[in-house]
Amino acid sequence: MKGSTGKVLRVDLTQGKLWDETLDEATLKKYLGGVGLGAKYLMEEVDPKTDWSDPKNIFFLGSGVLGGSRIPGCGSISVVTKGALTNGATSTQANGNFGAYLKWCGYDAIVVQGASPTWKYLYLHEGGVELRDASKLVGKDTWETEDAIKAELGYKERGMSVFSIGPAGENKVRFAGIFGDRGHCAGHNGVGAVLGSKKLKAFAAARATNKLQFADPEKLGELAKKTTEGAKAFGGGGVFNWGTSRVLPGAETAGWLPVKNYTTNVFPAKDLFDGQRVRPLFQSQNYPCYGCASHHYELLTVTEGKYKGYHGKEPEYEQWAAWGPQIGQTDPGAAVMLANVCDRLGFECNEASWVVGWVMECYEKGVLKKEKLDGLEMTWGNAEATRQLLENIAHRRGYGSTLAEGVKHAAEKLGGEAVKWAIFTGKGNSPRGHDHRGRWVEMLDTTISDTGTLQTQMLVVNKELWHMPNPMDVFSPDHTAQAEANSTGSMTISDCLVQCWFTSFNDTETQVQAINAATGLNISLAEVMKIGRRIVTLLRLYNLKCGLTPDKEKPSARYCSQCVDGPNVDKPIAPHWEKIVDQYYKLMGWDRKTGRPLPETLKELGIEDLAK
Amino acid sequence: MKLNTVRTRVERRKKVRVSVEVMSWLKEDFDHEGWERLIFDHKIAAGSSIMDLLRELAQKYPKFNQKAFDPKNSLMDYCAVVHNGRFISALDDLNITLEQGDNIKLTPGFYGG
Repeated sequence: MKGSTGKVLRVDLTQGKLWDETLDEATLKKYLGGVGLGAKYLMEEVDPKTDWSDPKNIFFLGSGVLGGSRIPGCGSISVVTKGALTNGATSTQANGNFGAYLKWCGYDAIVVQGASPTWKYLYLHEGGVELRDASKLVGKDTWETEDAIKAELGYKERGMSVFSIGPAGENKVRFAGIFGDRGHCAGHNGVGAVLGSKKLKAFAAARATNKLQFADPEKLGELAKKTTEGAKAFGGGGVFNWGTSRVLPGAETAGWLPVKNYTTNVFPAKDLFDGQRVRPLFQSQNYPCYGCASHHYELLTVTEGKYKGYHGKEPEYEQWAAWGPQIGQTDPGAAVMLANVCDRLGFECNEASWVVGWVMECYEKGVLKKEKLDGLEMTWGNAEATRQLLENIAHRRGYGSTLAEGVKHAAEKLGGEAVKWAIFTGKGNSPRGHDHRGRWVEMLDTTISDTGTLQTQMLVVNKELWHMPNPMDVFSPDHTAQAEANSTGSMTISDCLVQCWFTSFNDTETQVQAINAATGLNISLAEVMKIGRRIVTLLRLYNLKCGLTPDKEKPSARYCSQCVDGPNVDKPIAPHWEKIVDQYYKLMGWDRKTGRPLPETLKELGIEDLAK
Repeated sequence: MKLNTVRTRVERRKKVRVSVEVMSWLKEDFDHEGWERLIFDHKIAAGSSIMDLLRELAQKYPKFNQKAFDPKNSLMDYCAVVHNGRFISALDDLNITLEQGDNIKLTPGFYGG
């Protein structure tokens, strides 16, 4: 089929075998690619009783039918596996170049199974694929690994895309991710720990000759322009021009900036983190992803304060939030340092900052003392202590080894009041870098999601198509349930294609036109929307088999606590939680007691054969 | 009845002063360059609502008018409003009457993670 290479690369690390598997048109029509294809492999090949760290778990990394095309944001990848934080289904994405390079090397996706007896990395290039010795890479951070592989194989900066794990992944820290193209990350639910359990250090794809064929290149060109124009216009162009760099001050104003582990919503230093101040001050330079004109992502050098001269990636909003307000830290230069340390060690930044923030609160309240913390004084805002704590966690030194299990596990192990201060969901995952007490839909989404992170979001361009409440009252229980249920599948479609959300903004109508222009299919809008919902449902069915029950679909006490200050102090979600979930289940066609999709729901999605 | 009508007219002629702070990239809509805070006072007829204020601002600042009141996007998608430190969550709340000394903050209505 046009738009696809028609091949999946299979890797058996136990036996050291590589082989090609044919990807047929029927499969692509049913799953599209990306998370859809990954969900199929997970359902078919990983017994739900299998532990995430078992060699029988698979690691799926894939592009989609738009990968490597001119549509902006289609160098991205989807990763699907049984994740380490929830021991359930995972879907997490990274931007960058790898998705395009993978397809130019001749594959839509890679499926890794087994575990290698010695450390390896996978090398894809014009002439073939090979597993190579990675023993010299062990202990290197993610940037060092990228540099070392390019140097070993003789590639320049953009001649190759490398996604690797750092020490955190090697040591199976449950919130380790994979990192590539200078700071892009597929991070959620411990996918880096899964790679570590397989002793696979990295994926390296050369920029091979683009031999992809698309059904209607002219139409794809038109849609690429339309997508860029849409991205430029969205939200008044703020995201296109600034990425997420200017979000932080407004987030504090609106009350969804996480500050000191949700103990306050006031962060007086917010203006120092404004991207309009930081980008010129820190001499930032654009470092675009494949085929994208957006100023979403930059590299920079700190020019003031204690960390003057530090060079690395520009933190995205979530990294700014993690290493600034969430830990009570007010120096943007220190936040740059911590964001880069976090990426280089190979942590997903949100969970890492919920861990550090929780430790700081426990330290302030005398529950965790210096001796227990291996001599670290974990006072609010202590950047150097945070850097050392991250090192300890990545290498599982001392109390760092307990923290490496994630904030839910660590808090429950410590017990007592400290459990009430930790931010997590009953499934074991945690929110993005927001205070969701000011964003109810995302708290619902994070808590009921079957991906280990956000699953649906609610931000769709085509509001009428997805039957979104409009205008939306973000603190209405009814609107919260409706927005989440009605837009289910919208983000999943982007993650099937795999298209960066900051270019698509989940514009489903344009995406369907692009699918047809790329593949030559005549797939309808309704069918694509159904595919999105079908994949969400598949992941849910898988998690139910893994032991998911509705009682786990609750936010922790702190996560859904009442704000003590800020603009949302009068808007507690806890009194409405059960009603919101009741309504959400009803709208989704799920049984309230078991959490299972009802038979008629499965029938409507064409997967009634999976009812048992 | 007549007295009430006269009083209402007088009140309408009265002005109240409110403080407006604009955040993040919305500052560009208000012709403000640089990262420093954009805070200004705005006088508006007594009895006016938050929505009246937004419309007056839109008249004065064409870029804000074009983006915030674009027919494709509802106002609340583009622009979140905080009134006297309280998040205004629905269009209905924009009918709240402004009082002398009120504080309004405008910030991008940005969601997703």
